[in-house]
Amino acid sequence: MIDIPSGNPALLFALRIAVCFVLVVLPTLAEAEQDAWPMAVSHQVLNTSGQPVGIELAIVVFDDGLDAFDERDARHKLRRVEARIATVLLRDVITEGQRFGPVRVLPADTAFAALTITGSVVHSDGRDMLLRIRAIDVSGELWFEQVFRWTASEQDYLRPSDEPFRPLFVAIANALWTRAQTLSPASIAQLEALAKMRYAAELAPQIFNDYVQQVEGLIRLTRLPAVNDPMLARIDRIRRQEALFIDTIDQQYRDLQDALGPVYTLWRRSSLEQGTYLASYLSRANQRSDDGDSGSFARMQQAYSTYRSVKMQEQDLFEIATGFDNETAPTVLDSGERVVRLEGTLEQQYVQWRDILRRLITLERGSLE
Amino acid sequence: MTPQTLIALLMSATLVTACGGTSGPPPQTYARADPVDMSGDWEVDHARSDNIQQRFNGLARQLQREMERRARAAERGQAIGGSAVTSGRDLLALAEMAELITAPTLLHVIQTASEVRLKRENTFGLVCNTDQRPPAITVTPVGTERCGWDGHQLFFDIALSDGLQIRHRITRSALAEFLVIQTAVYSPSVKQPFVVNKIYNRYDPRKAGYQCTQTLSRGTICTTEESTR
Repeated sequence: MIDIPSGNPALLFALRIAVCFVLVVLPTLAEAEQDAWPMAVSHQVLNTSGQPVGIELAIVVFDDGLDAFDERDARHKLRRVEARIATVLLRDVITEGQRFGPVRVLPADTAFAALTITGSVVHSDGRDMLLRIRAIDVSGELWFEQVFRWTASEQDYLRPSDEPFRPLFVAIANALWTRAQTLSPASIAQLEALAKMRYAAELAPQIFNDYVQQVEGLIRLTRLPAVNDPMLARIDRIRRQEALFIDTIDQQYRDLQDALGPVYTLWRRSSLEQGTYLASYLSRANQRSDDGDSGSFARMQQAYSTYRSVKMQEQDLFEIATGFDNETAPTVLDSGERVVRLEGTLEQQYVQWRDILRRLITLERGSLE
Repeated sequence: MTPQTLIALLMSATLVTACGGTSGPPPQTYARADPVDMSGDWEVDHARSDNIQQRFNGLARQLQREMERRARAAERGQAIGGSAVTSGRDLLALAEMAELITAPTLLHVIQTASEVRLKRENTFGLVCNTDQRPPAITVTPVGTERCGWDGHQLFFDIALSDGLQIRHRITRSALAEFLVIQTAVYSPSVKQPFVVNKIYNRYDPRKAGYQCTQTLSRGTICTTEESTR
């Protein structure tokens, strides 16, 4: 016999609570999180006024902003990809402005450049992107730490060649440039010298630690080695090799971005469309009372199609993110005396490379002594 | 276990489920996980799978008989207890949903100790993290999914908004030559689930001579080269 269910009251109650949680509480939680977001940045033109300063910039690959990375979670994998792409996008915009010296993407935070930018992805869903950006110079002075936000509209996606979140990166680049313009030529020279000595102290602390000193929370130069110091010349050479390594892996970031960029933009665009649809669907579902139409094909099909679409989107993204991981290639470098092949993720390769440089310095120090 | 025995067992399970008298799946307890390897490529065996039209016709005839019985009783001035009869429209809607949900004809299963990924043609895959005590629960704003091993069966229970619920149970035959996916679809307006059993035989996609992959940027891409997946 087929008839209308009389229903198990406890089960029905539990079901109502579950549905209420999914349809009411979850969106409310999301709204509460959004309330804490800063205002979106305004549309800005990339500021290229004033005399360029030659200081080097290092942008450390952004943190994915996740509490615990789950290898099997598509959203986590994508977040990691987004963090890398956002880093390269920021580098490209800063480079386009031509206000600074070389701008390099670093796989890990090290004392390499006069100014280091770190960041993490606070949120990204195709509509909103929030990046927490921290700019700190080599003396340890914090230039700024700020959450930048851009809310993309469908208009931003109209031209496939344009980056929909460009205003976000322009705003960050402008904030950096505004702060950099306050530096005197003497401060710039000081930062560059300090960058060189901190790099040396990081690789050969036994020799160069005495040249830098921490004063009131900031790192200062105490003295400089003689211009013709042979060890300093070797550090310079090794620093150039590190720059070579960074430029080599930078090409990998660029290649990956070229390969992934169009698909990633497409994915973000469909996320935006889906997000808009989902918001309207949940709003309608929320307002709907039990109008006796709940078993209709149209209602069930809509529920199923929405779920299907969300899941397919997530799974497509998992495939993309997995593909990105698989495309990281080994790096082959000529270190002068020998050719080195580095394997693993770019972060792991960077650690391997620095280890090689550190050993080189130890060896060369022995030969000098 | 022969295919007939396996199907008979699943049918019994279907009847038990159907007589449960609730619009949603009954509460579950799970047997100790006893995973079986389902990995590989599978294609539907239409001849051995349920025909949705026939199943609908059978239920519709039942419905018709029930309505006639009620009409006769009413003529005699007798009242029949129990709840109201499901409308033919609601039953048809449920059958159409079942057809939509069980449409995939090809499966590709990737299985590790910690995950089963059941990719289905033209729809979302059923993915389960199996390294935790079942059910593994995934909550999204549009639905909740529970999955895991129940003995040697893999289950996926999906609860969607508007009361639509889907329960897949996947069983592999002892000789690993076919899979049975039993799908029960529950609607809030029909007491009994609509149950569809589909049989999938193992097949070698390379013998088809071409491989197709769904991509975001270029749609479906087909190649005559052998798959490397």
